[in-house]
Amino acid sequence: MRNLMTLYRYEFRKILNRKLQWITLAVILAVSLLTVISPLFGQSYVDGTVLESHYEAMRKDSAYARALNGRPINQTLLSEMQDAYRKIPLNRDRYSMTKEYQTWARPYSAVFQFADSILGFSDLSEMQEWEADEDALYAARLENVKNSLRHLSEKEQSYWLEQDARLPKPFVFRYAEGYWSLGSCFYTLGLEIFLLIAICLSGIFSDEHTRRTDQLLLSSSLGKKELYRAKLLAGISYALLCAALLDLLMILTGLSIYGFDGFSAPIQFASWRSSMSLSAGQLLLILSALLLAASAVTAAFVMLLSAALNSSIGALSVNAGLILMTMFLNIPEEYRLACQLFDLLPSNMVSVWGVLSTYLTPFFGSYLTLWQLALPVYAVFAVLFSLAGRRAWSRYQVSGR
Amino acid sequence: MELVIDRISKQYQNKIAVDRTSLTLHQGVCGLLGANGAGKTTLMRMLCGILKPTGGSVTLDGMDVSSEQYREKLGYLPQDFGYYPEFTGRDFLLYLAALKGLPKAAARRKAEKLLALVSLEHDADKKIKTYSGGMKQRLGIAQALLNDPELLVLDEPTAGLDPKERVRFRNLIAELGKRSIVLLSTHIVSDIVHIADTVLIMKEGQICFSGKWEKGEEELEAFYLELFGEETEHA
Repeated sequence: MRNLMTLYRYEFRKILNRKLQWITLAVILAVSLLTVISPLFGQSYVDGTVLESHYEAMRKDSAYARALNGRPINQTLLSEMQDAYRKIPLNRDRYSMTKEYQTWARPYSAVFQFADSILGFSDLSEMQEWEADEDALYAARLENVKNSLRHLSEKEQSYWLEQDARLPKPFVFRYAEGYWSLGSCFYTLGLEIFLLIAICLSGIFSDEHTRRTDQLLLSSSLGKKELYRAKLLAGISYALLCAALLDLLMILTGLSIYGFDGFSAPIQFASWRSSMSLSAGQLLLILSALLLAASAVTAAFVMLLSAALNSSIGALSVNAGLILMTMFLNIPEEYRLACQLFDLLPSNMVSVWGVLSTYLTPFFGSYLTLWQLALPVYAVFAVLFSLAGRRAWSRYQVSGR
Repeated sequence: MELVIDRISKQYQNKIAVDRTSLTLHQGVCGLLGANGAGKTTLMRMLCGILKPTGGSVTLDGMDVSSEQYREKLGYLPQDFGYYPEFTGRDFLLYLAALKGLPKAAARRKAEKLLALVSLEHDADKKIKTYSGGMKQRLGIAQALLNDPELLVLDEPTAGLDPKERVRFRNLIAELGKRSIVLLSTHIVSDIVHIADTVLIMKEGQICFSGKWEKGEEELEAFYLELFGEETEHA
């Protein structure tokens, strides 16, 4: 591996020398921070008058939710919540405007939202008529969980129901708004980073041909193998660095606003149908790991296209096309394999629904969930793309011109 | 030191660019003449391992053209080469030195020496995008010499240089020919006459003259025109 690190530094510099890279990075940085912050902009209006700013609402609801920290969602808490909500007069258009809601019910809004998401109250009166019942709530949840697993095989259904049975119930409430808000931003962040990688790395090999430097590179002793390794390393480390930087900035911004507390909150407070035993913090760590792995494999794929197509526009178009396709295409669940493969695509996988996917893959008598499968699959594909890219680069023929 | 070119050919879909050419070259300057499209650049690219021949083989002291060892002995100045506009002249040389496998300290020493040789020592820290055509060409010559090549392939090396520089580089090439095999392609007949130990003339992908040129510049020019007369008249 002669001069690998020296060549790596030059290749990394070539990537950073591109003005477009800086512009794209700046735009994506601004957009990802705005995605986290923007829900706090603006105000809530009722009948033309300002009720409160979104920021004030967040502060107020966070304080109420924090007051419920550590309390199990059991009969006692459900009854307290219902008593509070029963104080709201029914003859109002918007009950959130009432003094009773603001004084008594709002402190329990986090519990109400959990119950409402499972039972689906059509309106406040239905909720008030409901008799708070812990067993009924968890039974309704389990029924919904079973319904959501119907597209899976019997063995997979049994696996998930077994997992669900192991979840400690009643669920213990933890305030984790920062984690839930960030989780929902990951899908957008992933798309932005994959686009950045496509823009900045699509010319890593093809630009050497258009710039006509390929003759000097390919005729030098290390120009075929070592240079390829250096370029690959530079491209992948650039992708990882950008992903880590944007990920870290987004997480720090989000948690600074909403609070760092809630790492151990059960995932069921964000996705009550899930039977996974995951905490909010674990979800964020898995999403971050997936983002890094997906960025590396995307970088390897972009560089393969750059070497094989000899055109940065071609490499960029294919990648942008794939990203757009994942946004608009929807594969019906009955096409199980296609559906599972489609969900494994980086732009689908780096999302809360990607991590919480119920698709399973048998693995030595047990099962791998989709996100557990994604990490080794991305590693294998990154290697395959890299090998194919090396073949394309080292076999390039300088002709014509 | 022996470069053996054995029945090398390059055929594109409906055109034979180089047609079963065989040559054996030893230390010294070998001047390659030929009209545009005669196959000079194709031949040189095949000798540099960046274009795969359709048939035949190229070896340098038994090492195949596709091997890393062959490329370690090679210095190449393409006719129309690219550069990195944001790199300085010094960076460019250090980068290519790393690509040629030179250790860092040796690369630095060699780069300084070559920058002085091509009179770019005062502009070494300027970005290449600010260089004139002649300066870029001098930088190209310098990069070709970074690894003290045993086989030096120069495609129009003096293009873009002013007359004074051209003579200086002609003498430098003659000096290099004393210890390396230098294959020099040019349209400038006087350069060939002054420094080439062997003259090769290519026409339609084949070597139509190979040997030592004992006569003067005017005679070579006349001979050259006579060979390509047909095309010249048509033109």
